[in-house]
Amino acid sequence: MGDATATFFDGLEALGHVPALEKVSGTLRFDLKNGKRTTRWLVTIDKGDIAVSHRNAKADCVVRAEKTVFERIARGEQNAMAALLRGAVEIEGDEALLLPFQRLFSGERTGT
Amino acid sequence: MKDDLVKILDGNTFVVSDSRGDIEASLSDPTGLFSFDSRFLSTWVLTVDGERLNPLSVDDLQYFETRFFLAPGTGTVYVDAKLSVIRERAVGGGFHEELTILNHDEKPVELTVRVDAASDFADLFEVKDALEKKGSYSARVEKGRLLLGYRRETFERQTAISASAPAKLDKKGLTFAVRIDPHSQWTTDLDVAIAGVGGHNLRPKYERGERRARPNMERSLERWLRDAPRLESDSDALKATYRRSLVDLAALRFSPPVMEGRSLPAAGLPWFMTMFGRDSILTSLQALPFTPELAATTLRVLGAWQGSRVDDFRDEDPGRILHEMRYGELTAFEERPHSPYYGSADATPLYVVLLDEYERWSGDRRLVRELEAEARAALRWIDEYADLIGGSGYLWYQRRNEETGLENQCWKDSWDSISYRDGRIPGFPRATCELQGYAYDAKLRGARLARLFWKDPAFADELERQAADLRRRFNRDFWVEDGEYFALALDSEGKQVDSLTSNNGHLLWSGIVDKSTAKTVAKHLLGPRLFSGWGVRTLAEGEGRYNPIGYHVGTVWPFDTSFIAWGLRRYGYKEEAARLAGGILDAAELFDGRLPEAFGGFERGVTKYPVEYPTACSPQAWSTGAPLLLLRTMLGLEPLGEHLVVDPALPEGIGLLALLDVPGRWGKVDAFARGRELGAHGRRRAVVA
Repeated sequence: MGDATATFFDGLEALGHVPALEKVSGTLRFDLKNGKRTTRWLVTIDKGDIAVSHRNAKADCVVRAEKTVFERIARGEQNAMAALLRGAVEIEGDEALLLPFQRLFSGERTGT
Repeated sequence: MKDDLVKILDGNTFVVSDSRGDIEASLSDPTGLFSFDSRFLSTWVLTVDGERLNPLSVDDLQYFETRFFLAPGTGTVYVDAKLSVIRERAVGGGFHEELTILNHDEKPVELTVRVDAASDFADLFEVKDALEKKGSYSARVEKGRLLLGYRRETFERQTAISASAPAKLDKKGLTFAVRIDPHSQWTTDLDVAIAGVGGHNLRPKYERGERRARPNMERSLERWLRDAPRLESDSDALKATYRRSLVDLAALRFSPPVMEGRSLPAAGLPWFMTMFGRDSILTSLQALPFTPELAATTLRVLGAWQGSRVDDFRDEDPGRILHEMRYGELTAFEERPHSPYYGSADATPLYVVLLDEYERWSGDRRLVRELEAEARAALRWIDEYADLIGGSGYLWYQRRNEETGLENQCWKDSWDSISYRDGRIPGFPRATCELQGYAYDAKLRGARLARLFWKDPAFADELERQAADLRRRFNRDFWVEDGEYFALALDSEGKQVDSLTSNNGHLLWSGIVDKSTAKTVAKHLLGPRLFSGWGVRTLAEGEGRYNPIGYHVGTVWPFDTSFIAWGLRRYGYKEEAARLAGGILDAAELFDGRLPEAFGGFERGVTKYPVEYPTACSPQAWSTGAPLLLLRTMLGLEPLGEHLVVDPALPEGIGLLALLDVPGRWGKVDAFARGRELGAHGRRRAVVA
């Protein structure tokens, strides 16, 4: 089993533009905990144009989760909303950003 | 549900208590403080010197606040009337209670005032199904607050209780040692704050300087009522029903977490205070001439949650509009599929219908452009995911979640709602007739939007071609020759499920019925087998499963009849539409302006009074919307270009009807109607149909 998280974000970066996010602008930061280490992924969305980095910058929406949980979400095995309701994922800031973004977890990246 | 329960709410946070203001819930008992589908208080009992109090009266101040007047003593004779107790309670991110005790005596009194508090943190589904909990509980006193908690893995819910007056706190409640001088009073504020959903809030919401909890809604009830069109009529009952509908609709507003104060209609109070695709869309349609902003929020939110993947547990497909969203523990642990659940076959075509109807009223082309991708995906769902018998060209449903999914994914969703004349029940998949009507309407309306706003005339042509083809096939395949009406459904073998139902009226509303047969269909809808005198029965008298108090097999649903009236208007049967409006509004008067979800299908002349079907939810959103839609059909309101056409037909007994300041793309206009006769002194004559 590979690193689904890296595959997911690298895939986003490679796409550069996601039509399904054309109505979205803002920054999301994913703080993923693995033991004592936290890996950060900063996703900047500008009307569907996507840039990904590891910068530790302020974001409109911060998503915190164990890396193992996020791996399952990224692979499409775990529903993101259920994980959020369960407290396995926490969010801070603009929740509205996560809603269009969670669609990408299904692997559907070409939009409509 | 017991009748004397007192309910107050703010969005999906609500308190259900007895008439003393007390809560003593068991797992299966639906009282308590609820928020986001979890119970946060299951015990909340006030005693004075160890004695429970007696209710004198309850003041429903607003839907979000109430006042209980109480006195110590037992039974009907008050042994000690020298004390009275007032509990004033308001919901808003938990609740706030102002507890006041008045001493009417000439001597001072010393009292022990106790509030017992506890919570079982039950999920709403657990309350309905009486299920056991899997997590662990905690109770502790910390920094002047009693903290009640529940934890299951990462899932946490907490209730924090505090008081403004000095109190002794223990794990089971608060005790006050109170001394009150002669003719004086003692007061404490009690705050019940909740936390857990996304870690939000540990205190009730206040604005600076306020002492009272503030409800979530962006507009006060006062403004809500002021902004709605004004109704004038010689019928006091109609005026009262209209006002009741507006107030209830205000209470039914639900602001989903991502919408920052904008609201859409939830399905029913209190158990269905959440997003439902079908209910939110149909209620928004009913309310369009009155509160068009509900439609805009409904479209945005349902669009944001539109399905994007194939997920069998949630019955989700790309483009599908959700059925129901829940936030409780069972949903969180995926023991229920409501995160959200997509098992609805009608919400998706109805989404396109609402988008088009909303534009026709509001002229809000921006939203139509903003939601182009969502509307296209919805239209694509009809052809690519809902034609379960490949190439049949019809919209079918069959759940993929066999355990906790819904069997019937149309509005008649009880197990026995779809049956043949002889009472047999068909297998799956099923293609109920109204779904084909909605799909037809969605395609034509989608074509209008594509041509006018999406600059895609080729797509518009294609949709119109598909619609014409669907209509041709439908009028052939669903027409029951020996009964001269449309079959309720096709079964999996393509055979007609041949009972006569109210669904025929929805077909008129969708416009799929050929002009040549519309008259026959209208006759059935107002004929003795379907029309009870109050409204249209869900299933016709004489059918195998007909039962006048069967949920979807004989009762009258006011919302159903209101859409049927709209359908009759669409085909020019305005007198017939007026008769249906008259029946439902007469029933509304007998229910004090608040129509229940459904009432018995008994012949009006027999019972003289509509027999309410016992359901837990009241008010119900689309029953609340029914009088609003009937006002539209009575006045014959129809947008035409930049204008609003008024073409009234009033039922007997309403002499005068005026709706002032109807909002829309025309600004605000007034609509007037005069009836055939004026009842004496503005009272409506009872008319037996």
